[in-house]
Amino acid sequence: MGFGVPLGFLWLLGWGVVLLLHFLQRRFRREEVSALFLWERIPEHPLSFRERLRTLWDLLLFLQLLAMGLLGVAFAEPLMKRESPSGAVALLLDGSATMGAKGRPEEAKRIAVEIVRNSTGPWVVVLWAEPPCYLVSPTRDRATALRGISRYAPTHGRRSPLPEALAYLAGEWERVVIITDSPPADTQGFEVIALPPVEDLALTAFALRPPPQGPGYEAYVAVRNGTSMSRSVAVTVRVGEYAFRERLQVPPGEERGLSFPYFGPIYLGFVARIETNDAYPANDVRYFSFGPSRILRARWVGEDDRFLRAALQATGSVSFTDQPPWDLTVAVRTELREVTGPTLLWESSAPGVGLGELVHEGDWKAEDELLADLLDLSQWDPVGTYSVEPPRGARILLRRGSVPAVFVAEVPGGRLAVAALSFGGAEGVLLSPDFPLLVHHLLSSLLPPIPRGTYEVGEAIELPQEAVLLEGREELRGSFIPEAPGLYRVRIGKEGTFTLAVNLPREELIPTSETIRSQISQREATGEAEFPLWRFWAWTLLGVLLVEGALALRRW
Amino acid sequence: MSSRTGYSLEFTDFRPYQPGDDFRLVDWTAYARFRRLLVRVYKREVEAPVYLLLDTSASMGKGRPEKLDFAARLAAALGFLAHRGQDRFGLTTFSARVEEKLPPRRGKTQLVSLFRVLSSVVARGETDLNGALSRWASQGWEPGICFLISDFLCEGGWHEGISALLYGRHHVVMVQVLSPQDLDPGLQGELELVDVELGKRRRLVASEGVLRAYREALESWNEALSSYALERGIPYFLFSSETSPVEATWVLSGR
Repeated sequence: MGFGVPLGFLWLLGWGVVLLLHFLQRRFRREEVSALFLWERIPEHPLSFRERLRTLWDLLLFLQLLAMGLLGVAFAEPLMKRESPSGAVALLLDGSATMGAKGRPEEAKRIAVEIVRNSTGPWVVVLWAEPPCYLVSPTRDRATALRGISRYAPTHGRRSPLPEALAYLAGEWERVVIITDSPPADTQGFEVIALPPVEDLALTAFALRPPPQGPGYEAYVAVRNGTSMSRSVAVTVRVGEYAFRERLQVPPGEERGLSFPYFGPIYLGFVARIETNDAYPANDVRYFSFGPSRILRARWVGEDDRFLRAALQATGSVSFTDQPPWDLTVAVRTELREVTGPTLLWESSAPGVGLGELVHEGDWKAEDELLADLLDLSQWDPVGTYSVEPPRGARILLRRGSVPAVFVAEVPGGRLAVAALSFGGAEGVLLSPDFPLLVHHLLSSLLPPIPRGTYEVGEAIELPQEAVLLEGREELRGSFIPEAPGLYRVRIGKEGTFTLAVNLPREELIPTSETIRSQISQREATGEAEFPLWRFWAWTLLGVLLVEGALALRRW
Repeated sequence: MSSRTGYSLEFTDFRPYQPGDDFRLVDWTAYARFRRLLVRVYKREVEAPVYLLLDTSASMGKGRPEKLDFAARLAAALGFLAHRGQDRFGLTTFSARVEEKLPPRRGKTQLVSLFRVLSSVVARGETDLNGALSRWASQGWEPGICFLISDFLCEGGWHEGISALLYGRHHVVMVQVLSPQDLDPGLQGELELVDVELGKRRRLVASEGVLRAYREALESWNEALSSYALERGIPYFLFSSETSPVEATWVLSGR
């Protein structure tokens, strides 16, 4: 035990004042008796030392001296010194969506409070979300730290990379404690407290797309069973007043998909939900919307090509038609007489773009940066290219040797994307991801950007011009970052509306990390913590003063 | 009831014949046996009034419970018993002088009057047992039973007063009432003792030795009182004011 302000003991000089007042005001206590003559018969009685002491004893005086003593000790700020696990502690509370699983926020807070109570400080508490933020900026006040922890609540989004969160811990910290359900890869030097896994069923995918053949759309859902037993899961897809319900059997630890046809309206938002009562309800629902985009109507000219057709359908919402109007012309191994609107020339020629002889020599080179990143051109040797003279102003995307193989150009009839390629004998490339990536890139270059309809929490959404997001009574324009999953209504012009769907980030779909580590490295850095005791002294003093007051009242 | 020898149906004893005795009282059977003239003596039943003499001096107002409170309840209980025995009973309260008198009568009205007076008694004035009792006795009251209820803490003594009652052929019963604080003051520290009646003061430091000496002085005082009573065949009782009046009445009536 120690004292914060030893000078506070100067208050003990008050004892002298109390004693002085006591002896100055000392008087014989008046007592009425029935027969004084009996007392007068008592001879003078010399007091023994013990009797003299007892005479001096006065409970009120004792209480006054005790009160003054307690006051002196309280002002000296008594401190209890005892060994404490550590001093300065930085706490990183995972604020990603999966921390919202049942019981996890409470458990995280409980652990954090315990750490703060058992350490001497200072403390800093950071919510590890995207972006990270302080729950408690560096403080030495334990009450402030505990108040900050009580404000902890996980977000609906992902968490930032660990270094970003660590950047908030400026200064020297004896312990850096990370409380998470999914420990990051590199936690050398930190204490990681991993929360236990939870049993969970997750809706991992939900999308609608036109089918490869036939009318309408195809809805696709996937369910992952994170429990220890096989589950039969009821999946419901709702759009407006329509509801479609299917049942899916999913073995433990596996994911199963389900697709079914849909012929209803598409301008509304879609909601898929699995009926379960698990620990992480956030991933039991997913949303989908086509957004402001519409289905691209494409005219097919020339030979059929199942690879190209599948790639077009996979990369965009493309439907093929012979009736105008159309948004796109796809010419395959043919000679197009006239260019009208955006056109994809696939092994085809058109006015101003004539194909020459087939070439199989030279190194492939992507002149477009994105294509250079996406394609693995080392596998492209079997692919041939036709010699062709690009129109003036054409943008070369891919070249073999000196021959331009893929380019985009403006011609009098419209915009052209030319793929002067021959995949005959290059089935390996056709079946690789390079092929649809190339087709998607050509489509993107050919058509104006098409806004998506489905996003993730934390992702910036650029609203089209004149579009207004209706959120309660507020109207938002320009861009916004959704903070919670759901369907958002957007108004364009006076009457047009569409829906945006926002889902949990993909990495927040599964609340149980497979890499949860059992070992929790906790450094037992010890130090001396000081616990103030003046409150105890003050309460005792109050009690003594109350007793003293009662006694004094009784005497007077 | 007062019991004296006389004429009644209840035989008490024999005594030698004396000239002038009624021949009708000579027991001839005894004469035949003992050849002596013996006269049968009968118990004479005389109706004697009950006098409740209550000390209301200031010292009776001390104590927890108050001595006067206990004494008044005791007097009320004795008065009630007399009423039940169809005796006459009266009350006199006194300090240095006679304060209030209720001449002996019988009946409910008298009982009500007794209760009314007892409920309004106030402890005040000095104690002068000798003076007050002598003056009361000199008023020529019919001989009766005098229940003298007091703390008997009177520096002037009590001998003359009680003697005056005896001279008046009263049957005296001495009832001393002391408070627990009188018996064991339990005082401590530096005290200024004030006599509640005379206002005299004395400063002393109360210690175990002083308290012991006080208890001895009180014991000696009470011893003198009881010896005096014993010598004169006067029943003497000492009650603490903590005692239940009912219990005290039971003790007194048992005599």
